[in-house]
Amino acid sequence: MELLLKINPPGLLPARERIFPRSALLGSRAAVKATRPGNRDMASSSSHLKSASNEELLGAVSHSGDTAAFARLFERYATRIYQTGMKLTRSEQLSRDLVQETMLTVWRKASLFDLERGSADNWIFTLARNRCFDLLRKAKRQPICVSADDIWPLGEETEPALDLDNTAELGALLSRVEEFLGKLPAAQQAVIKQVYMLDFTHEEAASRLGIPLGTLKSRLRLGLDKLRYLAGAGE
Amino acid sequence: MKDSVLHHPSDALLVRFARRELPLGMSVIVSAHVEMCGHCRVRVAEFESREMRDWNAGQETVQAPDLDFGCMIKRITSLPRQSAEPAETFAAASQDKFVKGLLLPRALRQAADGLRWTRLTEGIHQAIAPIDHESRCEFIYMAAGASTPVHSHYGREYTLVLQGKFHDELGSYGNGDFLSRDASHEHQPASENGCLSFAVLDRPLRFTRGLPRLLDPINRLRFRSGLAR
Repeated sequence: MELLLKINPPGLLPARERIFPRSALLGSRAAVKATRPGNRDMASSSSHLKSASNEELLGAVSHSGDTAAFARLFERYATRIYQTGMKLTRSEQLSRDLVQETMLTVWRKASLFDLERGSADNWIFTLARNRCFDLLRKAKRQPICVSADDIWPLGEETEPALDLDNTAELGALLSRVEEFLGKLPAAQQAVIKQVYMLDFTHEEAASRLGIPLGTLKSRLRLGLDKLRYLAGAGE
Repeated sequence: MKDSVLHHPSDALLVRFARRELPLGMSVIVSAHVEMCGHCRVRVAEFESREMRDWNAGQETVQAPDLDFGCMIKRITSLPRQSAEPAETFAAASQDKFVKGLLLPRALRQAADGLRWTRLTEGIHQAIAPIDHESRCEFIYMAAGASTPVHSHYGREYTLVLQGKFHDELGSYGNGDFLSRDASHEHQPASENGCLSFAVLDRPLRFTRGLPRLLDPINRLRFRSGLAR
């Protein structure tokens, strides 16, 4: 353990916030972002939008803040969200608030929608019910030390961190990362290297590897799960 | 990830969880269990997708509400969007003396911030989590070798083992195990090597034997003052 610590002094790591020193090789994320090519163009003629799937519309909102695509999503979902609100709150005011809160979250967080984890329906439905739960709780003046998104995660959230008791273990683990990486399927190794060692954004890594963003994210997740498993099993 | 959880919430409870029908404290403890238990994650996903189907099927039944959507859309799209890359924050583990380096399930993390522990009896510590008005949510730490007085409950008590092991007359429980006890159970939990758990109680405990019984009224008082304000 001591030997490993010399190779990877824990002092170099920002506490326990990161498993890998992402910025070590390429400088700050901001610098990487600055050289990043512009967003993919999503031409959005209204005829194209009529036949677009909900997932495609969410993609357009996510990639380029396409307001026409958002309006289309709004038309498709507002009534259902309103009905959910009426069923759960029996209040027109709260139901109207619910439509606004839910669709606002869709607008703001469209980029977090992950096709690999479920349909647009699923994502927006979960959003709507979570916002509803929070609205009701606010109305009841419950203490807010847990949000509905903590109780029913949307799937986009943080990877659970490794359960490490101290930085010494973290240092030891880091030095073994390469060994663990070698045990992963090549495709998972590749995405983890792009994102966690070369510090590319998910989008950049996907285009460098020539795979869809969703595929990258799911490989990343599987890879990290496997790493975590290996890390746990090695103790 | 290894899945060694043996005790799970009933399907009835998981259905109500998926439907958002449980009170807050209950939702939190079921959520925490589900995060620790692959088996129940799959069950909940099934129940969620059932809910989804109902959601999609129900859309024709109610007429469209008379809302000014255009105005709402304009207001929303004038607001900034979140950048494509979510901050991948790895949650810091709690610094609490009993929670220590353990990374808690998401639903419990915020509540475990700044816990104030009270010693109930030798080796048994309790910290109320200010989660809910309608149920008592608490973290319980049993030191190695500790056991609680024999007690039963007026209402129902749900317990989730976060780390360690404990046992009672009915069995032995480890990480991620979820227990439900009601007034018909009289038990005396004990832990050999120490155990951190989270419990939700809809009514106070009732000590059934010996000296602790005298404390019962006090215990009920503590229940009331322990509810989140």
